[in-house]
Amino acid sequence: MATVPVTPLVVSQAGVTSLPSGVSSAEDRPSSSWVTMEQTELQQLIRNTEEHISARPDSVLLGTVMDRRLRVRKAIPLAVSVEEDQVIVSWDDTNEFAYGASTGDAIEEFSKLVGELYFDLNDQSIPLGKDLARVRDILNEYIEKVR
Amino acid sequence: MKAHEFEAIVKKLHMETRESKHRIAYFVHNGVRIVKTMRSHGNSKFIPEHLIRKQLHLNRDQFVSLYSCSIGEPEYIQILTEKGIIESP
Repeated sequence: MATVPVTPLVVSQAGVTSLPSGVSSAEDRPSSSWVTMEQTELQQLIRNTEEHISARPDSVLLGTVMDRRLRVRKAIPLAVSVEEDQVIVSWDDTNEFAYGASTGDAIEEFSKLVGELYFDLNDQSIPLGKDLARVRDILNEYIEKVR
Repeated sequence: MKAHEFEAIVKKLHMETRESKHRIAYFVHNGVRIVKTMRSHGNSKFIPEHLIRKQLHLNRDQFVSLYSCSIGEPEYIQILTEKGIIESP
């Protein structure tokens, strides 16, 4: 059992933890606001706080593709999320995604995938349906061949 | 979803696959590449089902039906046609 204040922590987007307004220090808190908390509740509180102060961004801009034949004309906006301990990066406009053990791994996988896809979808010998043609057009807006 | 479930869908829809840094699968109808999906190689058992479903243009029920057998290739073609992904002849 641990004794902690019932007053919730305030965690900002920037990860700065502060006390709620009107509570300037421990001495100011009324004694009635102190309760005992089960260890599991305390652990949950710690987990929630850690999630709020995670250094992982919600989105990134991808500026390179892992293929020397290609160049990024316009940074690709990727959403970053986590599922089952895997980091997923996804490009909503195209429904493309990649995943990995870390944000770096996921971005690297995406960078390889988008290069492969560029050549696949620009292969003139295979006709595309309207959805894949749309994906190709978006890819061509963001990526171009340099050699 | 697991890799064998992904592979079951690929097989059921007779998707064309390409092995590279990823396993890329295309659903081809009348010689036209209609939709694409993929999974990473490697030991990870993780495949984000909701993102695969989105790439295949299926809702949750349709997706479950696809790998539990009640939706086959003809039904999938019908779904894509109704959604305008496959253009009606």
